Amino acid sequence: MSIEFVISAWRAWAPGLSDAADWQRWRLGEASLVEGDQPDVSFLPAMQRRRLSPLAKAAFATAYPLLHDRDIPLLCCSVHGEALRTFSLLRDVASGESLSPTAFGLSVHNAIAGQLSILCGIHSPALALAGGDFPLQAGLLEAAGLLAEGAQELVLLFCEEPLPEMYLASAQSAQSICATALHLTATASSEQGLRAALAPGAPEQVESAFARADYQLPLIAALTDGAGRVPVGQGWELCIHG
Amino acid sequence: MSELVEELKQLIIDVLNLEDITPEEIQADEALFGEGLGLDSIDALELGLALQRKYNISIDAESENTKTHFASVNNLAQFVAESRA
Repeated sequence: MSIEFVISAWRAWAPGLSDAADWQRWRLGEASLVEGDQPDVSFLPAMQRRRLSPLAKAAFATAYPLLHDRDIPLLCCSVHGEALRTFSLLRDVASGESLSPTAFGLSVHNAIAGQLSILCGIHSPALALAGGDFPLQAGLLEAAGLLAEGAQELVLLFCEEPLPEMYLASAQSAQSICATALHLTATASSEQGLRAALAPGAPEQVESAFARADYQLPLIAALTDGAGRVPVGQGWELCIHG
Repeated sequence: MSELVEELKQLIIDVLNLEDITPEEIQADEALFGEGLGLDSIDALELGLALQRKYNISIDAESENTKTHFASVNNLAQFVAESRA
């Protein structure tokens, strides 16, 4: 059994790596992460930009150009979501401080999905997933479900940010912010793009996202190469072939 | 009073993350919400919280006057000055 996709377009962002050419140089070992670099979201008006966290900005930098002018379903997958925002709220609760209404509203797991759908004017379904141990598998399966139900195309986004120190005992922290957005289309309707299949495979033990926080990088590597096999869960892999 | 007006403009910019706006660009008599600067209801809550923290004044969300107090920077300055007195 295998589930077929077409990846019509993709974008990924990590500090210093923002377009396909950057990721090509990363694959060749000629570029690496640049600490402190911020996602460029200058395409948004200032009044819309002001409530976006650095993680949300990375989500916009990758997903917004793929969603642009398309009212299509959106799937946002993040193991930890806005962890920094949530942690800072919890700290305020603990010390008896009043909570920032803005931070409170935007600390929920579907905050990024909500901001994207509002600012892109999307009326199609927008979903937020955590994805548990295997976010790539969870996100792709959910996407397969939406496509099987009749959606012709959708955007699937993965994003993570470094965790507050207090969480490090129970989960590995991402080294830096990273976001990957895929524009997926139903196979019958698309001619251009990378063919991909979610299929049984990946014999070796796949590490949980709680132990391997940079789970997006093998996916980005295969997308950049235009081919590759990405382990996505126990016994499952995503095979990308051009 | 003009000192307080400038202070409030900077507070609005800092608290609401208006990165691209300078205090000079905010007209003291211009509407803060809807038209004018274009702030929304979440901004009103955020601003109320900041005023409570900074000036230790309490704001009655039910009061009709509150709408007037928050209409412009000038009105806010007058409200803060009176509440502190």
